[in-house]
Amino acid sequence: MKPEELPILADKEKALQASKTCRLLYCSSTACVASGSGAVKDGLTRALKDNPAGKAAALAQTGCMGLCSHGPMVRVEHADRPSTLYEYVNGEAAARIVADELAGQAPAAIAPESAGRVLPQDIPFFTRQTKVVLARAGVIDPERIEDYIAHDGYTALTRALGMTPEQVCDEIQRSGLRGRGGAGYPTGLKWQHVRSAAGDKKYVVANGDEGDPGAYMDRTLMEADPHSVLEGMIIAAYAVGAQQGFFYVRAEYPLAVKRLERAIRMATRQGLLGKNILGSEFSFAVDIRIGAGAFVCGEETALMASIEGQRGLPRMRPPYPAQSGLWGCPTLINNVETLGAITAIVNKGADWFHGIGTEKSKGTKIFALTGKLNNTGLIEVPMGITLREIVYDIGGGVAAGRSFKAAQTGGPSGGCIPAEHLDTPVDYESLKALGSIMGSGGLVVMDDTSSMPAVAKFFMEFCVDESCGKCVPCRVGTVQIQGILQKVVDGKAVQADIDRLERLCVTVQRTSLCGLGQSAPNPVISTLRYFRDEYEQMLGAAASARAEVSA
Amino acid sequence: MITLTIDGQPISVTPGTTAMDAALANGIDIPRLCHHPDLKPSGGCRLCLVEVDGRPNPIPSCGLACEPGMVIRSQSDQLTALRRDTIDLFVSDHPLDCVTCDKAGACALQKYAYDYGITETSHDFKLGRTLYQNDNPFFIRDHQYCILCAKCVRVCDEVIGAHAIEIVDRGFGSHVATPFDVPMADSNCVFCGSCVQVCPTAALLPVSRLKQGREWELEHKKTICGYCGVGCGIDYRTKGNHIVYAQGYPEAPANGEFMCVKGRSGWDFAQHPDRLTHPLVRKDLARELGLSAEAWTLGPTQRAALADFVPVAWETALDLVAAKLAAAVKAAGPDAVAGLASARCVNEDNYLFQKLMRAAIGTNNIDHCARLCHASSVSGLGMAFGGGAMTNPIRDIRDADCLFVTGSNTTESHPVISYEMVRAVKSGASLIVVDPRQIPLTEHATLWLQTRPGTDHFVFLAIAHVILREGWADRDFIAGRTEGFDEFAASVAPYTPEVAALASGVPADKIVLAARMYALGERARGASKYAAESERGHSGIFWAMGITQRSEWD
Repeated sequence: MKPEELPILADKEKALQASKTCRLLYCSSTACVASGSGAVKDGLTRALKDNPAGKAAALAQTGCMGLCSHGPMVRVEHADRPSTLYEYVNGEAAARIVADELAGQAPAAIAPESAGRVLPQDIPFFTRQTKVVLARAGVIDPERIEDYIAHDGYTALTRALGMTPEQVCDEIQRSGLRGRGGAGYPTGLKWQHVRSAAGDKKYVVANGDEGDPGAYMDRTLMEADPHSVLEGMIIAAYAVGAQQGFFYVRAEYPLAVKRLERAIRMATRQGLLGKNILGSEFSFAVDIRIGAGAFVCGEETALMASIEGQRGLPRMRPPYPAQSGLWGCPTLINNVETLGAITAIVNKGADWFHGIGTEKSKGTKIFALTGKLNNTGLIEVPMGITLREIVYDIGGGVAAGRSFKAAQTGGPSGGCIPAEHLDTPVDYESLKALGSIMGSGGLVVMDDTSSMPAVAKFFMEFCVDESCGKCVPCRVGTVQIQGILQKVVDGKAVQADIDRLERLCVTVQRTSLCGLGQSAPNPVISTLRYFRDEYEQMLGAAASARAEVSA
Repeated sequence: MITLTIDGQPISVTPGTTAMDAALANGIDIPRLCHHPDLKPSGGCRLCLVEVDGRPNPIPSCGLACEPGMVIRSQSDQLTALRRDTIDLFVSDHPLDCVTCDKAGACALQKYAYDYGITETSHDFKLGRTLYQNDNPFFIRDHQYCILCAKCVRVCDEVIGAHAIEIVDRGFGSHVATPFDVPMADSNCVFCGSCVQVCPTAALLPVSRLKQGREWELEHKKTICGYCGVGCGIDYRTKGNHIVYAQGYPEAPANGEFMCVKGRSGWDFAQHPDRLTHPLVRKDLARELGLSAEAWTLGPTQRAALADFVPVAWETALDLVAAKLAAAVKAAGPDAVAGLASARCVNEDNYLFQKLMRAAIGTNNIDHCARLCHASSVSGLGMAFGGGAMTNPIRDIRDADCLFVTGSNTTESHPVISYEMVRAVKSGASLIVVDPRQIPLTEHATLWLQTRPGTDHFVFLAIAHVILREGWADRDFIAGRTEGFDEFAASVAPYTPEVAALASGVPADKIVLAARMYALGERARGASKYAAESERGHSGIFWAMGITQRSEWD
């Protein structure tokens, strides 16, 4: 394909969509599939077939619409009036929706608790979000490249190919984009490092090995808008001078893998991938590597070992992947969400992106909002929004009338933030100062029924299971920490155990080889920092008495 | 050279040197459990952490590249505390059975526990691994003592190239195993025992060493292995007059710490009860000469021999042989006697034997078992290079850029040489194997030219042809060192790669590729050690019996 053919393809698709009386979009992301969107699809299909006006309407799947706890979701779009969003849809409700919409009438009044009721789209859950990376999620059919192209797809690539690679790197650097995998390293700087590293052969890797419990930002992005990540990767490859890319996606994400495979196939067929992309001198190929379920393989050096066919173990850095990565070649590793932000930056400019967020954290961040909230799901918010806004406005407050106790960010590498810090702006530095981290975007809200030592124990069990075993602090230290936490929860711990726990946490933090071990004690340290009284209340009374006697 | 400071001491090193190596080379001892000078840094034991000015966290010195002006401290209160905590974690997962442990005195964990005053763990003792495996005659695997330093796994991969073991499972439950935990004999293991050699604890021990005394009771008897021509140094650990086990030692020039199964385990004959330890004379001859039997302690096979032989004193036997030889020379002249020497004896013995034949007997009828295998190489190398032996020390192999192996199943015949080849390949050298068989080295080969049996010379001639045709030959080098080169060049002119392909079955493009890789010393990856001094990489040709035993050229 030549660059000038792109708008023709886009117009053709737009005309096709405009020719329909309405478009019925059902969410086909994993969360809605799990809550029954398969039956919704069947219901919609059958109802359209049975309806004489059905042929004039279009039915399409989309990626995530955001409010996953209210799924399956269906949205109906009309050319001449605002769309309608339906929640908790099932097969029967689907038939009713088709009947109402095709008849051109307002949704029939139904009992408030029934399936397929209308969800207003002006609620804070939607209005307080800023969709940049997820702009097309829930809007386009992720399995049709035409739909992506009709929504400005691959225009950023065209624009980037008209710039020099240096200019592209500069643009990303000026935007202030930082790595969305958790550590927050400046993306443009990383690109520059790979670009200037010596070597003819270079690689780009998209890290889609999202593993934090409760986090599903990357999965959703890959499922909802695979082409945007792919396009971001192609631009990255052009900027750093890479010839081969890899998507590293965990095997637990079969739908994301399927959609990426399809996206790669479609893009290659259209000449957007492969040899002489869009008629330029630039060639780039992409393959998918599927992870086998080890959390540590999300760590970049372990991930590279896994791609190389080795046991997925982290290694010491330096050398960093930018100098010596896959098979010893300079390698750019970016998180899926980071790559997802590239097209918007290239299209709308670095200044625009730079205008969103706080001084040091620019742009938006996707969070998987889970836990004891009224609204849980996937949200995209500008950096600097407060936790309070996320919890009470977007999340709709704590569920079942309970009170907020803590928000856990960053998964097993993160920490718990108590109520007194709810007004903290969410950015890399502020969360770190509170003893937590931005992490990849897991955000779990706990209410006053949660026991914090039990929460710490849960995350430590996760780290014990997922430690690769290469270095002793993580392999043995986490087991010992878990043992002490078990004693605490069982009411068998004494004060000396808490002292040993704190010391051990510091040792594991300071001496572990990779980020997994270095951050594994964070949930314990942060709960000790803010909820120490809960630990102390759980000390075995009898045991403490004995300790006093022997002391 | 770059200069940095470690523990206040100014130190100069070449760029790329790790802080650990810089420290060790300058007499600064940094605690370490997973480091080995012949293996790539792993960083798993966390004991070698050092402080670096300007860096917030302690850094493992084994993976820390020296930079100019770096200020490093290997000792501090903080480091001592972190190391104590780390050892504390190790011993929470390792039985402190030192009072009965065979490894006591040679165990690295025991040493550091002693150095840092750890008498027991402050944690709850929890053992991650309890398996005890004695599935082979050479070594046992006692997993409770394993500290997962992975030195065994790495030596098997990086040096031996056998890949017989890997760490399986993960986290606390991870352990070293063969694929699918099959018995060692069913795995790729070649029983070279290098894993046992590098194991810092009692997790891997030679079977012959079990319950044979404490490490400090054993003596060191250093010698050279008598099996093949590599000439490995062996340190026999002995007790009384008895070999307990064999180990390599770092200073051995040919092999360092590594040996093959023969060197490490093939010494049991030395103390086998059947070994012939005293002279025997045929019974009828003894009776005829009136020789009296000596009272020897005899093994079972020797006792069986008493039906035909009589044990006699050394003096008696030597006198008898001397008298008989003298009689033969007297009766039929010195040339009636011939001597045949053995490659299993040391050079000095062979020298003395030919002296006996030539000076005492007076005959040139002296030959050696190496006539069969080595005569053609001695004369060939003598003519080509002026000396009938290897042109380079064995240690040069690991730094080669391109290895050309033919007529040698190196892995089986000269295993320790193959270790050097594996190391070269693992660090990026290219390997060309010309062999009709899929020998173990082909697994590591960049290019395997599988010739039809007896046709390899076509490939060699074609490679020479391509090198000359493409102008890859170093004409100055040739002009300064050869004679009759034009005749040689003319002789290879007809042997195009296509001709060789027809004869040998090796595709012509592979022959051209091999010619280029060899002639230009092309590496598979990475930079040449010789990049600064020459444009081309350094290539080496390695051949053995498969070439010298050729009886005819078509």
